Amino acid sequence: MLVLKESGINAISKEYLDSLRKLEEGETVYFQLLTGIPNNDPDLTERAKRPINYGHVQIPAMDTIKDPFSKQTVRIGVVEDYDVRTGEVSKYKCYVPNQHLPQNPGIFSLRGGNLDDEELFEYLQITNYNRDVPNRDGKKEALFYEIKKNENTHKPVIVTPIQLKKHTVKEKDLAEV
Amino acid sequence: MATLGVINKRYVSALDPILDTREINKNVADVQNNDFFADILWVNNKKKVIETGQPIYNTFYNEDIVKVVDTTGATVTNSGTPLVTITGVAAAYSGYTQPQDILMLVTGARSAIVQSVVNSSGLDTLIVKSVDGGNIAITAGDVLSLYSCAYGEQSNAGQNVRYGVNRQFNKWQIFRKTCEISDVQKAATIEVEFDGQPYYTFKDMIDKKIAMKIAVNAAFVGGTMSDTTFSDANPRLIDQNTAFGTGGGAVQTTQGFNKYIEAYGTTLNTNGTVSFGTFDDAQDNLLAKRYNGDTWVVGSTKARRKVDVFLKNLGSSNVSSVRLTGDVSGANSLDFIVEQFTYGRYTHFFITMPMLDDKSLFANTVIAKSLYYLPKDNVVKVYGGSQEPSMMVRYVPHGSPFGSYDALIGETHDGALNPVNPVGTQLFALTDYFTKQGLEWLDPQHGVRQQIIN
Repeated sequence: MLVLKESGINAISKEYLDSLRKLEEGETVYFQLLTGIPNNDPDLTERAKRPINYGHVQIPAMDTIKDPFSKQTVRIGVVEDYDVRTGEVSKYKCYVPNQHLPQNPGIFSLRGGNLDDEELFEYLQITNYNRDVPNRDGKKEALFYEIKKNENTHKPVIVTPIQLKKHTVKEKDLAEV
Repeated sequence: MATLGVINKRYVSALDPILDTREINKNVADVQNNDFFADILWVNNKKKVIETGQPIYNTFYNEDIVKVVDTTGATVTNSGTPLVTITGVAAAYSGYTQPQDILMLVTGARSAIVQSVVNSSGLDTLIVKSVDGGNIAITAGDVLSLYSCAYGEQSNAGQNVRYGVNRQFNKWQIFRKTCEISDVQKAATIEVEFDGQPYYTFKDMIDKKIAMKIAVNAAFVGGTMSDTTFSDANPRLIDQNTAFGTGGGAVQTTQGFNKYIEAYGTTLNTNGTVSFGTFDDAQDNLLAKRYNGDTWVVGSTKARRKVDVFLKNLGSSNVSSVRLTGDVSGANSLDFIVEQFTYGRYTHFFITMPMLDDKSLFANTVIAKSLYYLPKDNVVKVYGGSQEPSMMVRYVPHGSPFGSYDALIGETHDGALNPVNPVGTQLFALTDYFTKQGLEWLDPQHGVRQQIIN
């Protein structure tokens, strides 16, 4: 993330910065969106085809977090444009996962070797919109979580209980999304 | 007992406590303004109703004819040469690719022609060749559009591509509101009047009409569709109301335009700031959904104020003349409201929706903190060249001998003193208003919700 000293944007502590994972060249990381709306089609076959509908949702690329090391509140974001004199940001990235796809599959990925993705990955590891960030601001709705590599399977979160066998996605299925 | 003295106020009031009249203004103030804040303007007076029969109503929409090859997760070999192989492309994003399709490359906006497509275990391998003989660069993660095609002399036809349709649906909901009054209170007059009548029952009826309006309109804005449908063999939502019977029927609810957008449209969040970037983001996403008309931008007063302040504060010399609009006669009033804003591809028409200002209904939710970009004039193009209302109300005719002529709201009556349809021997009057309605939105893909208040 671009650090703007004048305005303090992204001025997280060195310890926190060092603790963040870096995307390696060619490495792909996957995330699961938590913003789906259950498909309430009474036809169970149709439900099973697509248990959850995902609209396109922006993950705000600006946030305010508490640095766990410095204990300071820090404004963070993926900066697109800023005032060079004041360091104030005039435009943050508008990140809408899978915006190019007509239907959002609910899973999105970032890839090492792409600088935009690498910067975004740093941000996504510490934003309050990530469900798995420790001590996240609970006032903000969690929008996604990272599908960890060491997990063979993960279960997409179904927002409300539905009388349907839970759909399990395996690693090999991820290649299809 | 007679006494000597002046007949004064103290004397008369002491004779009997109810001898004095009471001074009461017969008009009751409507300080809650519930009727006004129940209004959703339908969305700007473009309401169209359509009769329906089944518990679920469906709409179909077409799929995108322009296809892309998404190389996310794929392996690219020989990038930087004239012949590149892309392995492991999910078939869902390349299954329609065929030889002679032409790809637009991200790097250099160069063209490459597809030489072969081989499917194996749901994954495709594409071999593409530069059309100009130069080297082409493809990076895994690139999204390549299949923008054209080119065939040879005396060529054969390519494979047919089947473009499908997708379905979306919603459910209608049964709304009911009850007025009930006993024989004693029905006859008793009261000191104040409602609609010119000194009976409490008139207040009750006015209140219930507004309550019904709130219930229906609020569902059209903020409702979540139930998983239960009337046709379910084992419904999860069961009517628990046993006030006048045993209840037990299945319950279904309709989806409002907020959830329609969450499921099919786009939700944005500016994190509390408004700038040109706010409109850039909204327009980029409208374009991403191929919306080509102008928009209504519907929001609460709070949300609109942020836009008004931003637009009226613009410092550009080109817009300084509209920073403040003064009263011509004496410049003693200032208009900070922006009604219309043309920028980029779109003209946005701003509308304040009273319901989004209600202090109780949605005040603490994202609904009241957002602007909704909706198709202007509530129209969507349909196959064949004509247009249909974008949002409509599906309703089931009430089927009652009593109720509105438009078949939307029906009445049931009970009680021996019911003025419309006396029933039974018990001395009371009950009128129940009911309606069966649901929202239908043909193109929620064109809707954008943009949260601009934290």
